[in-house]
Parts: sequence; structure tokens; C-alpha cells
Amino acid sequence: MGNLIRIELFKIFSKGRTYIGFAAIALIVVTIQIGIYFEGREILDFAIQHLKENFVFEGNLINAYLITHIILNSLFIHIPFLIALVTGDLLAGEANSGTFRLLLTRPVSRTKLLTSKFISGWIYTMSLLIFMLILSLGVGLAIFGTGDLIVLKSTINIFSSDDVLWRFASAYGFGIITMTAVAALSFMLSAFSDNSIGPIIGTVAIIIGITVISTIGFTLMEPVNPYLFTNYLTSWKLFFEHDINTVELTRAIIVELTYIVVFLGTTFVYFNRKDILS
Amino acid sequence: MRNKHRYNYIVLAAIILIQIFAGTSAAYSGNNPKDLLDKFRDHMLQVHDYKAKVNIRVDVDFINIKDRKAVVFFEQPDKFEFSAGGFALLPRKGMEMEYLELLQTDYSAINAGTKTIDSVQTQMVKVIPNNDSLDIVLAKMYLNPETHLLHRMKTFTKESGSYTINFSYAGHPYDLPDQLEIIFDVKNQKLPVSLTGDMKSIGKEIKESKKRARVIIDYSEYVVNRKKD
Amino acid sequence: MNREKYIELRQVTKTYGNITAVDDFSLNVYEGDIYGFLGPNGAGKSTCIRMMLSLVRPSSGYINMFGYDIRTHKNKVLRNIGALIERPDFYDYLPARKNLEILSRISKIKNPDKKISELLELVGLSERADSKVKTYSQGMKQRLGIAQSLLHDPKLIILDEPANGLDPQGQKEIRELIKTINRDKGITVLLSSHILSEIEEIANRMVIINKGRSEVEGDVNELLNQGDMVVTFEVREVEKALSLIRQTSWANKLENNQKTGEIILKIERNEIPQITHYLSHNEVDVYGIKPVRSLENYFLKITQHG
Repeated sequence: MGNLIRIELFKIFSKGRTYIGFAAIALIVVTIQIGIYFEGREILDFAIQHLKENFVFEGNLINAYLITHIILNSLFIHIPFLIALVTGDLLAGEANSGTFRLLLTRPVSRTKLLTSKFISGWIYTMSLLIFMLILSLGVGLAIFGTGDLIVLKSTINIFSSDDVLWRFASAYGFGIITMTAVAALSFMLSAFSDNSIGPIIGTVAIIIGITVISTIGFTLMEPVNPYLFTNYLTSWKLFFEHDINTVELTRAIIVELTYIVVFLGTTFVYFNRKDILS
Repeated sequence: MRNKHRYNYIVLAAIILIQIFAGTSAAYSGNNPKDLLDKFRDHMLQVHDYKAKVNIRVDVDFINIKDRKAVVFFEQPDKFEFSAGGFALLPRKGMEMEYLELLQTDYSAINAGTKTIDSVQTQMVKVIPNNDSLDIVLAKMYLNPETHLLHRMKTFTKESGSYTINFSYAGHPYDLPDQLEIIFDVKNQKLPVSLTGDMKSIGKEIKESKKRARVIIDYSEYVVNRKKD
Repeated sequence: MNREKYIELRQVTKTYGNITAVDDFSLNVYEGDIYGFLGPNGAGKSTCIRMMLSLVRPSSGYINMFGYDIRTHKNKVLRNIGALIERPDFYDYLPARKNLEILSRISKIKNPDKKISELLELVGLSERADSKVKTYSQGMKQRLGIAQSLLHDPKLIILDEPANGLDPQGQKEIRELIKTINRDKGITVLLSSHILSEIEEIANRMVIINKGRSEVEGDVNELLNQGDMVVTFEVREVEKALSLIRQTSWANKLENNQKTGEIILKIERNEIPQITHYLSHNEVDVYGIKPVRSLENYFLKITQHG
């Protein structure tokens, strides 16, 4: 299995498209950092201008933690696309290039092959997230230093700097679960398709589509929403509350894990029976 | 003769005005309000400067922040500094002994009844500055006639709305408060989604509204008049 | 014949929806064979091959490879087979050598570097081994395809139209390569093709598949040379020639689809000189004789109709 995973990782990291994700993240992160470097104070002042009428402030709010949080906010929308770019290609890419005929005529079970492919795709997903964390936090620390974290939502939450790192760790941990669900979805679509455009577009369309429907058709969708995996893509934000809603968090984790099992189960059952005609 | 008449009219009019302003039959306790205020002012003026540790608790329903520790420094008349080591927010009004500025200018004072605050019987005095350049237009001050200490002050300003400060004392030599509770209104602000990334708030109306803010400041380890000495 | 049976397909059927791709098909490949799997395009050859390699599941029937049921002993079977199916596709963003490395690691080959160099030498790609496959010509890819099929020293290689898309020289090279592999390495070859001459040149046994059904299976020479031949005599005076033939016992051997300038007879090989002599003796000049063996004739027909 380790052998197969190494081979799959080698294939993933030999492809140009794999680096699109890293390049896109680097571009967005650096852009945000530059933007905040020059205009962060102005934006923050705008955000809390009403408070300034009644309060005086002290402390460095433009810091690495703020940046890491902003990047989490803006990037978690894009990351599924970057994940699908690679995981959607894992099976469909082999079908499209005809290389399944090379792989599946070797003495290796399809289950093993699928497992190693998914693990490799998952490792890629992790490396994207870790890359994003290192870049946003690491470069942020170098340029902006630490400080307390201000989280602007419908409310304003402020966390002291020694109360922040575990929140990021937990948010990323939760992000790993949701992004694994995204990877599993695009992996499943990849098994259904013989070209990789389908699963990539399909993954993004499903996520955006369901999100839009559950936002717009709110009253109609309300009973269904708690069971949709897309509903929890932003639930990492739960960690940026002083009182963490553990009920909601537990439900989010259970729903995401259930979807991962369903997506992967479907993939394995379907692909093990699939006629390779490509 | 005519002048004396006019003088009487003015006095009468002033009395009527004061009565109307006081709004009640003004249970006049007998103390001259200015005496009480002067005693309080003179007592507090002994504090030329102070430094203290504070614990800041901000209680506004749209701001979530845990208690913060800071060190504050105040020097007469209006030098105020604080450092928190991290982020902290303090109310713009209420921590700079604003009453001293008011009580050191020309003002009118009217007794306006009594009120029991935390089992202390206080005398309420309405203070109206005669100097137009002050931001304060009216202050209702609740003082303990026995100790001459201020227990509550409700201030109305031209520019910054109104705010109320409740003072608690724990027998500090200079009678500096060990706790301030500062209450004022803040505007809730609707933040654009582009700033918050809060997708779930899309389509939900957040009305800009006035919210009550309550900031409780606990003082400890006062160092008084260190600079003066 | 006491050679081991390597492949046995018995009454295999494969349907996709309501399309029957393979219908009650059977074939037998023995150790040492170069086995020709002949059929027009779309006859079901690739589907059969995919079923032998467990890429496609048969709807019904029985597939036995090296004495094992493919459904229950897939990996055991695949360990002994090398395959090149249809197009020789590779990870074209990687060099040839890297492709072979990956495949040899999947097959868990010991000492792969030596084996890879050996095979690249065999198929004549040593010099281009480190170029990306996307830069390869079709012929080079075909040869790389054959190389990868030999990586794990299989007992049997299955080559699906390996000469497809090659120029005559390239086709010849591939045929020579297959012969070498069979002769020198003792590897059994199943070779699919839609060209009879290709099969005839290198195969010892064959099956013809048409519309998913096996039409005929056996020794290539026996199959091709049995029975009458269809012989076309090219003459100027067709009417005269026809009337001459009709006066003889050959009259009932005339084929129905006569063309202008030709008469076509279904006769035995030794009758060709007799007829030629008879016609020229009766002052009908014979300009050309085109003998076609009946199996060949049949195959031409199904190819044209297919």
C-alpha cells in the first residue's frame, strides 16, 4: 500500500495542475497580506468606527492572527475548487488518458488502488491546507507580529493572543474534516466520469448550488439544512466564539464524517464493479 | 425703586424656573448643594495623579471580549494613559474624573431630591455649567451628604450623548473608587459581508440600532500622587 | 497436443444495456501459441480482451486463464499476463523510463532498473528513454507498449492491434518483434487484428470473431487452405468465356456476382491451370488470375459489410 501511495503521490506531484493550487493560495495569501499591510488599519477603522465614538483602543489588532483569520475566511470558499482540481482527476484522469488499462491489468486489487489514490489525494489536500496555514501565519508573524485577534462577524469577538493558537489549530482540524468530505465528493464524481473536467466542475457546482439553494430557499430548506454537508463548510468559525457551541460542532462533525463514508463507500462499490471501457 | 422691582422679578422668575427645572417640589434637605459639591471637589483635587491596575469588563451584546487587565495613569487635569499589553478598549468618557472639570468652572447647582443607591442615602444635585464651551450640558450627581462622595453621575453632553457612572468605594485613603460602572449607548454597526465573510448573515437584516453598553472597571493597587511628590 | 491451455473462453456473453457486444463466444489459446484474434473493427475483440484482463465483467459465460477462474483469482492471473490494449497510452507527462518504473513498482518487480534497460534495448527505445512520452511518435509508443507488457516476465502477452496506425515499415518491425518475443522468450502471444494477412504471417492458430460471435477457430494454415478457392480470371471476351465455361462441368462453380472483364469461379487450386488452358485453347486470352482462398474471401466480405 505504501508503495502504491508513493506512486500516486509521485504522479500527483509530477503534474502541473497540482501546483496551481499552491500558486493560487500563495497569490491570494500574499495579496491579502499586502492589502492589509497598506490598508488594514483603514479597513479595520471603518469596521469599528461606531465603537470609536465611545471607546478608546489600545493594542495591535493588525497582526498575524487577524490575517490568518481573514485568509481562512476568504480561502475556504476557494479551497474546494483547488482540491477538486486534483482529487477530481485521480480516477477520471486515468480514464481520460487511458492509463487505467496499464494500472488495472497489473496484479493489484481495485480496492487497494482506490485506497491509495484517495489517501494520496487526501495528503495533497492536507498539504494545501498546511501550506496555507504556514504561509498566512508564518509570513504574517514575520511581517505583522502577534497580538489579540479581532473577529468581525455580526458581533465583534476579541481573543487575547494566548487564546488564539488552539482556535486556529481546531479550526484547521475541523477544516481537514470538511475538506476531506469535499475531496471524497470529487473523488466519487471522478469515479463516475471519464474526463476530469466533469468532477471538478461538478464538485464546485454541487457545493455552490446547494449553498445557494439552502440560503435562498431558506424556509423550504430549513428542515434539510442540518443534514447537508455544505451547511458546515464554514463551521470552523464556531471555534471563534468565547462559548463554543459544542452541540452544533458535534453535529457538524457527525454530518461531515457521514458524508465522507457515503461518498467513499459509493466510490468503492461503484468502481469495483465498473467496466473499464476507456 | 424700579430697579429693585426688576430685581425682585428676576429672582422670582429664577425661582420659578428652578422649580420647573427641578421638576419636583424639591425636597430641599437644607444643605447648600454647592457646599456639598465643593467639599467633594476639594477632596478629590487632593489627587493630583494616580496610577492603578484595572480589570475591564465590557458588556455589550455585540462585542465579545473577555475581561482585560490594564494599567491606567491619570494626571490632573486631563492626562489619561493606559496600557494593556494586548488589545483593550475603554470607554471614551467616565474615567478621567470629568466631574472635576465641571466643578471647577462656573455652574449652577440645584438640589433635586434624594435617592438610595446601594443602601446609601444620596442627595441628587443637578449641575448646569454656565460656561457654554463645555461639552457637558447637564450632570445629575448623587452624593452622600455624610461622606461627600459621589455615588452616581449621569451626564448629558452635546457631542457624546449621555452616560452614567456608578461609583463604588472600599475605603481608599483618597476615596478613589474601587469600581466604576460606566453605562452608555453605542450604535450597533452592520458590517459588510466582504469584511466578515459571514455567509450565513446574507439576507438577514441587521438593523443599526442603539445598544446599551456597560463597562465595569475594577481598580486595585492605586499609587496616588507619585508624580507630584 | 499436450500443451497447457492458457486461455479458455467458453460461451462468454457481454451486453451493454440492450447492445450485445460479445455473444456466446469461445476461444482457446495454448502455451507457445501466437494466436490470431481476427475480426473486423467493432466485432467485439477489445471487449473480449478486456474481459480476459478483468477490466470488464462478462454478463455470462466462463473465463479461465492458466487454469484459474478470472473472477476468483484475478491477481494470480494478471501476474502472468502482459497486455497492450488498443492505444498505447502512458503518463505522457513522464519520461518512458519513469513510466516503466511506476509500472514495475506496481507489479513488484525485483531489480527493475536492469529489466527496464533490457526492455528499452529490446524495443529500440534506449536512446529516447528519458524523453517525455508526449514527445513520442505513434510507433515509439507502440514499442513502449510492448515493452511495458513484458516488464514482469509474463507467460502470456495480449496485444490488441499493436500495429494500428503504423506505416508499413513500422508494422513490419512490430511483427518481427512479436516473433522474436515468442521464439526467443517463449512467451505466448494473443494478437488481435482486423487484417488477415498480418495474422497469417505470424500466427499459428486463430479465431475469427464477427458481431460478437466466434465464426471459426483452428490452425491458421489449415483454416486458410481448406476448401475451394475463389478464382478470378481476367478476360477480354467475357461472354465467350462464360459460354465456354457453361459447356463444361465447371458451369455450376460460377459465382453469382460476376463483374465486367472478369469471370469468377469457386474451384480447387489444381483446376486453375486446367481452366486457363481450356480458355486459351478456345482462343480466349487470359490476362490475369486472382486466386483468393475462401476463408479470405469470407473475411473480406464480413469486413466490407462490417
